[in-house]
Amino acid sequence: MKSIDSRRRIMLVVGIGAILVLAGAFGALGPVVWTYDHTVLPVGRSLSSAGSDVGSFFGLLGQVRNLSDQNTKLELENATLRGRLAASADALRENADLRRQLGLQIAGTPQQVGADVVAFQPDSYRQFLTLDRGSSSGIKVGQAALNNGIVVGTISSVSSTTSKLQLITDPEFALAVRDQETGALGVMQGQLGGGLTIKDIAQTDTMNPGDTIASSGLGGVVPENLLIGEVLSINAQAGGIFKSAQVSTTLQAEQLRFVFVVVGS
Amino acid sequence: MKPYKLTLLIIVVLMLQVGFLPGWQPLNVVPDLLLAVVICLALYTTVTEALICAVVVGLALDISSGTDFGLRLGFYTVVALGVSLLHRAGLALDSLPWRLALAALLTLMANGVILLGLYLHGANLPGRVVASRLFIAVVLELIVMMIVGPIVRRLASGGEGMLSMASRGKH
Repeated sequence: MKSIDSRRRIMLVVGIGAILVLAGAFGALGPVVWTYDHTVLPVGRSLSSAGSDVGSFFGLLGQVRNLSDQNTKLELENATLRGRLAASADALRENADLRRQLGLQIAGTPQQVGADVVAFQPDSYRQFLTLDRGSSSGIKVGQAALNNGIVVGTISSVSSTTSKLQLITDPEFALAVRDQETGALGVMQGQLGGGLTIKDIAQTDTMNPGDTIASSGLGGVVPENLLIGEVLSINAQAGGIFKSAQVSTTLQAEQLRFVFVVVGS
Repeated sequence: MKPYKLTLLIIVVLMLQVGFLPGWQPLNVVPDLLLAVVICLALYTTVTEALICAVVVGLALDISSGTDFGLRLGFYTVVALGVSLLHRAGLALDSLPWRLALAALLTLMANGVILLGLYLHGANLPGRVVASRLFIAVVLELIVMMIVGPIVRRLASGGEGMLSMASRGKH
């Protein structure tokens, strides 16, 4: 008799699990997700932050030896970027003047919503973050998220109060991009280990190391000209139709605490 | 295991696996605490208790994950059933070498399932990165198993709960 009870109990638990998976597949887990968002996430958020601090501490210990070299490199990069910023400011002013003279509308800065990172992806291969803002804040699937003015990913799913952000370093991430200097187009993909690759660049297009890469605005709701990174190297094979490029990124997923989601242009 | 101990264990594992460990990511790998706990529960308590832990925490991980809904719940459920079945069939899986071997094998399987999905979708997977992450994941899992095993055994030996008593005699 006890054996039958035990089997029934096992079947019951397995059955509940199967029903939950099916409900999730059909998008009918709303109340469960809501409960999770309002019970587990608030506590998990503090623990994620604590875990991230522990990771940063050990990471810092490993980097102490290289800090001096990194500092020199960053100072040099800072000076270069200040020069570029000054040139960009002049170009922006000139562009605004010309638009005014031609009677064209001046494009405003994209409308953004700030969101806290409340959870990280619970495995070692995918790169997703949970944000504490959802559809009630105007967030939709496909919108881009920025950190320090650089694209860090796009929204992959949304509930009313939370959303999932797929980072640019996720192995399945893809975004249409453009070389800001030459106008060359390509599709940027993430790769395991954190690198970025641009594929499908036409052999006839020019792309050089050091060029700035930004979103192209093609094929989605991500606006154009959102900064992503710099070209590191070009891989061109003789006789191939397309070439590819490696792109640098400073994104460290575990240290992201806050992002801005671009909800309108 | 007494129900309050099982509840406490599930809450602690849930919070660590969903919150702390993904935030920490030692050596870019998230240690799988839940896998070690489910294996130990299947060995030291009843299959029902291992299943409850697998379903509750597996579901939370699936909700927390941005992709592959149901993968974790399904995997940990199969692990709980499989390990329990093999153990009750007479294999002495509760010894340390067997537990470590199980942990290593199942870690490779869990990682393999995710990597296979990525490979089939044509994702960019550098071989060196995959190999190093698999190696680190197995090493971390062995460490986690050595810590978790005695804790779960101690919790299980502290008294039987209603689920254990109902299942006694059958197992």
